[in-house]
Amino acid sequence: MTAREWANRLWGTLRRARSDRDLEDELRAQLALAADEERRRGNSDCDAVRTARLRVGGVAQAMAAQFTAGTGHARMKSLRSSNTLHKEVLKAFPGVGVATSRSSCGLVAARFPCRVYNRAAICAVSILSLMIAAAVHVPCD
Amino acid sequence: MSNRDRGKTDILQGTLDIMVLQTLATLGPVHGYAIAARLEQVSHGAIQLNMGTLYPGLMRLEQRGLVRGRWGVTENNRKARFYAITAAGRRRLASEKADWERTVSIMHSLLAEPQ
Repeated sequence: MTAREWANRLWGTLRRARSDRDLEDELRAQLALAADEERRRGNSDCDAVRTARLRVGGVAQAMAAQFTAGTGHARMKSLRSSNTLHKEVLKAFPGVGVATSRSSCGLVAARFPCRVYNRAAICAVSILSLMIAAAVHVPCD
Repeated sequence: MSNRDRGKTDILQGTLDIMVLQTLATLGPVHGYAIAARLEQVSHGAIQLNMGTLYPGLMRLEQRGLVRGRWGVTENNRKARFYAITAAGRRRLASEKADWERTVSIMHSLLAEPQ
């Protein structure tokens, strides 16, 4: 992962997550487009919606999939994405794994029950990891 | 994706991102439904993405700054979110394509060996 990609990921974590409502609106819009397609194929209104739902999936299931993947979904994005971010820091700089293990990250997170503080705390640990890595980094031959 | 039906194909892990990026690079800004429809079309129906597969991928790409989503209106006056590939997305696509071609070449050589 390049520094630019890492910065993009950090920015994606820090900026405000899309609201659940916005994502739900998008999924409903996609379902409506699929139903339009079914109507064009000659299905009745009722059949079109049912067939479209079978074909592209339901909104609730898609929201649940976002929840599981930890992407985009506002309620899940903060902690899961931050954990992913932290994992990527450890992957990029394995030497700092001991200093900033997930357990230490978890301890920091546990002290800050509020989601915002939680996110900030984990990001701070990740940034600290990078600073330590930059300080101790020895180029390979 | 419904992967239990005969004739349907599992998406190899890690390939969804490259498929979405390539689709956006080819078609320009399109909504999620158009991305799924395009992948179904070019795979002759073998790849059928449902929203539960496509959207986590799209959200992941957006969070990484590889695609950008904006609300717009379709030609049928439906509100939809249109996704466009970013400059970072194009760079990633080029790099992923090179990696993929190398993998295919290796697998091709390996599988072509006489048993």
